[in-house]
Amino acid sequence: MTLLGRLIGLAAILALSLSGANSALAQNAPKDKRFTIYMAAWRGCEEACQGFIDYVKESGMPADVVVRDAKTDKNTLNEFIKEVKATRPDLVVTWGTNVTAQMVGPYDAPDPSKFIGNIPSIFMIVADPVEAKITKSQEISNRPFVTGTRNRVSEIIQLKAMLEYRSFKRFGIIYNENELNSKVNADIVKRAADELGLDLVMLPMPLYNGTPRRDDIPSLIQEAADRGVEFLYIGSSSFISVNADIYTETAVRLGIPVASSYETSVTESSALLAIASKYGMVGRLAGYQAKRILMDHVKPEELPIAALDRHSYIINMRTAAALKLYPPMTLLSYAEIVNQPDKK
Amino acid sequence: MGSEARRLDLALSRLAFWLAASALAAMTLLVLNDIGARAIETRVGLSLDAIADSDRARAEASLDFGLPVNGLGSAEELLQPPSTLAEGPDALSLRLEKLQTVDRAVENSRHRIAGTMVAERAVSDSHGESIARLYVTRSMAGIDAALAERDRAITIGLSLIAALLALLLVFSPPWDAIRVPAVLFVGGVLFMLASLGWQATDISRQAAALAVADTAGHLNRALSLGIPFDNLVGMLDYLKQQVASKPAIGAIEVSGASGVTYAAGSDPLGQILAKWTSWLGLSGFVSLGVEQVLEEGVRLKASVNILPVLAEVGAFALVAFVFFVSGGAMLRAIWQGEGRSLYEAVRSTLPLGLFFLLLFFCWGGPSALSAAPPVAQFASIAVAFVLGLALQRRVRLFPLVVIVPAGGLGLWLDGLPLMAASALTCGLGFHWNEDGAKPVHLGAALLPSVCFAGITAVGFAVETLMAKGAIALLMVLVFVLAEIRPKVEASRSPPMIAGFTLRILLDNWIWLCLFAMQTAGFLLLALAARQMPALLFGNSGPALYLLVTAVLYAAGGLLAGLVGTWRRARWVLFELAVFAVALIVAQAYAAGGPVLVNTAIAAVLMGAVGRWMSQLPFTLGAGHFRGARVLASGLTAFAAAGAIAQETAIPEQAALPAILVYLMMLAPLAFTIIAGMRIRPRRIFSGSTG
Repeated sequence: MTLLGRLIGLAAILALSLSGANSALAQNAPKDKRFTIYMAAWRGCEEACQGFIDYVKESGMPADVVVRDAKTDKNTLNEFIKEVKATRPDLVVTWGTNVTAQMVGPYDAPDPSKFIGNIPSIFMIVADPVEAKITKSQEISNRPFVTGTRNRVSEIIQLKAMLEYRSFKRFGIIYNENELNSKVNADIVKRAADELGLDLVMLPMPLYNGTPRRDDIPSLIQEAADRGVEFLYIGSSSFISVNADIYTETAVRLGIPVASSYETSVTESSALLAIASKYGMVGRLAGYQAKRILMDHVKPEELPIAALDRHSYIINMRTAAALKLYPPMTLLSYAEIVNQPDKK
Repeated sequence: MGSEARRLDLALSRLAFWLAASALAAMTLLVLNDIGARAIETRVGLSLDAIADSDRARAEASLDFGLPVNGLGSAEELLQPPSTLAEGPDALSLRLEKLQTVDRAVENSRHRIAGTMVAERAVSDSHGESIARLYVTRSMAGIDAALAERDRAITIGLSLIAALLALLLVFSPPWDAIRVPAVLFVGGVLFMLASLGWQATDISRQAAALAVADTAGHLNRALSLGIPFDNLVGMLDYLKQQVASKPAIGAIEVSGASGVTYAAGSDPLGQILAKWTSWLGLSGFVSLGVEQVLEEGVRLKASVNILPVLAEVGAFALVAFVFFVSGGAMLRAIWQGEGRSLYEAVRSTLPLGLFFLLLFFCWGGPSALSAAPPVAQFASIAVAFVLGLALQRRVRLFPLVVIVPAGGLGLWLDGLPLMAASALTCGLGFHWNEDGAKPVHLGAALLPSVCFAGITAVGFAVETLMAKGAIALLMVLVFVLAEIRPKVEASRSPPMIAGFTLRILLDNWIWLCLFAMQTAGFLLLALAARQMPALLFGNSGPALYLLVTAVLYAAGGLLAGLVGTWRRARWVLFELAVFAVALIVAQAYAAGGPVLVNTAIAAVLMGAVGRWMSQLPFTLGAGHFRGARVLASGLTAFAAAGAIAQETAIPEQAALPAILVYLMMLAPLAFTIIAGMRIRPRRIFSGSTG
């Protein structure tokens, strides 16, 4: 063997040894390292945020969670981005559509430097990440540093849950054509209704200069009643969600039960039932995603957007009593009851 | 001297009888007790698994609601069993342990620890990670105490039976002396069955009480939410769901103060038993009902599902019946008439016993004799047996030339040649005498197989060498008996035996019909045996079921003899019985009836058909040996059916064709019967003994 050949051989051996050592270091490094997780909350550390923190503690992850509260102020989020860029935590967790959209940014953003960039992030409590352009599909983000959790229950499950409560043939949905997600959702509900052989009465909100009016809600519900609707369903719509009180109270007055995809419509308004993912559980699920990234070294782009295996069936007992539409016994064995009326 | 020798002979004979009877009684009771104890433990385990699975689901739901794992108002507190079930020798307890580190690898398990049985379950959060471990523990003190009591009672009972039999044998001949000990033995078996049934009921009652407590919890929740009892929605569906998901409950009824009642499930047998136990004043011992009073005077009543318990006790009773019949038949066959016909009985029984043992070795899961495919084993037995029948008394040297090397080869290498050589020997030693084919000999011949099934059922593995040795020993005995027969009773040997098999194949088509019919019938028994659940007897289940049906077959033959000499009645009954067999088995497969029960009933009828078969006009032509010929054909059919059953992937698919074959073969037979009736029946029967 020539001298050159020997040198090349030696160099190759050295290179191999170094790369082995490097990979060994890379494998060992996280064992001793304490991770920093940056939690960007929208309105305080509520159930999902707390669920995440609990999971981190219980799982034994060597991690510190730094919680920052935007207090529903969008301007604060720019400060968060600056802080993240300066401190470079190991992971960022974003709560809600607003926080995620502003910190992670859309996948087609012209100027990515405005966002947190190449720091791994997990989003939670985002109603429709595709609609918000955070991910390209509901199942996987297709972005190298982004993954998250899904907390919306599919429409077909919602309809089946309604049927489990009470058999019906015709139901209605009031939606806002001004909101893209509401329009898209109404179409999804229509397909689910067709699949189950149900009649769907679709009632779009009248728009005035492109804006719906709250006062039109009672008349639309009256129209639904006149057209023989036996159930009303609140799908994805911020406008309806914000005006859930007038919506659900009118429906109860007209004797129509309301099922909602928003838990708050049941817990805080007068909707009869909701199938929802508990926020605390969604937080724990985000914690599990964090463990997969930090401890198991799975890249965010390879981590599917996770959904819960089980959902909560929430029944508003005050509404059930008002409608004289008590839940069937088969549901009572596992449903979560809210707004329990005082016993006589 | 002659008198003294006879007295000594009698004394030795009685000693042998005492030893055989005592050993049989001991084996029966001990095997039954062991199987029963294991079945009870299995039942406890399954019940505990069901409770743990239900509790896990409730724990997960409670944790999803946000309840803490431990402490005040926790999921653990919510899941605690009612106080009535948390105390005493069968006490249930529950513990929920929060995992320090979430872990997906927590496994579900069940094990016994220091007088308790513990079922362990992983409790997952709503995305599938284990967050807690659930332990449901049941005290086994009550079960263990009952087992110890039963062991003591068996020891005392067996000692009493042996002592009483010994005393009576001094004064009476064996068959008279055994009557009172036999009654005691039957009493002992009944006591054991009652004890096992009581224990099984108690385990089911505990599970039913827990299930009722769960249902009561749901109802109480509904009432506490302010829903009036009369306005409860979907009660019937709910109660049906409860009965369907809680196998310990047979029927459930909820009644309100206003008289509104909802009910689901039907358990007529349980209700009848509950009435009887109440009428007999036994309600305190065997409680078949669970009752709970809820809020607002609502009453919840449920009956314990007694059917699985009765099925289990019935299965034990059948096993005891098999032991009793085959053991009793052996004692009767050997000692009837003070051992006068000992040689005759042994010569009639031993080849059959060896033949059955060969077949049951093939049935016993992986065969202890050979690694060859089961179909090859059954087929080699059938073919070699027929060959043995054909060669009987014709070529004296040839069998020896075949049997010795094949037997030797089978002993050292794979056992298939040994099986074939043994089956050949069975054919050679087959006793061509109508008197030798009585049901009692069939019953006695089953005893070696019963012992084999018994020892495997209690968990002993039969070693290959042991099995081969036993088969080789029996083969030598059968061969020796076959060889010395002409010197002893040459005058009673059939003159045309050798040509019999060839005549069957070539000339006598009606015998082929009979053979096809018998094969189809035995195939139905074998197919049912394959469906025997492994819950009670493990791998021995199919062999034990086949033994039960074989004994029932023999019993059917015995009962068929009660018809007496009224020949035309036999012909009519023969045809009716064939129809009944087809209908009963078809009902099981086509209408979803209980296959094991229906086939067992069919086995009795098939036994009667077999007995009447030998007394039909066309078989009467075979003369004095017709019964033996029907038996020889039946034995070959039994082996052939085994081969077919082993090759059948889905038993249900083969059952209906087998029923059709069984029924179709009736047509030529019926035609021949009618012809026999019309053409000088008196002449046909003139030479018959009936």
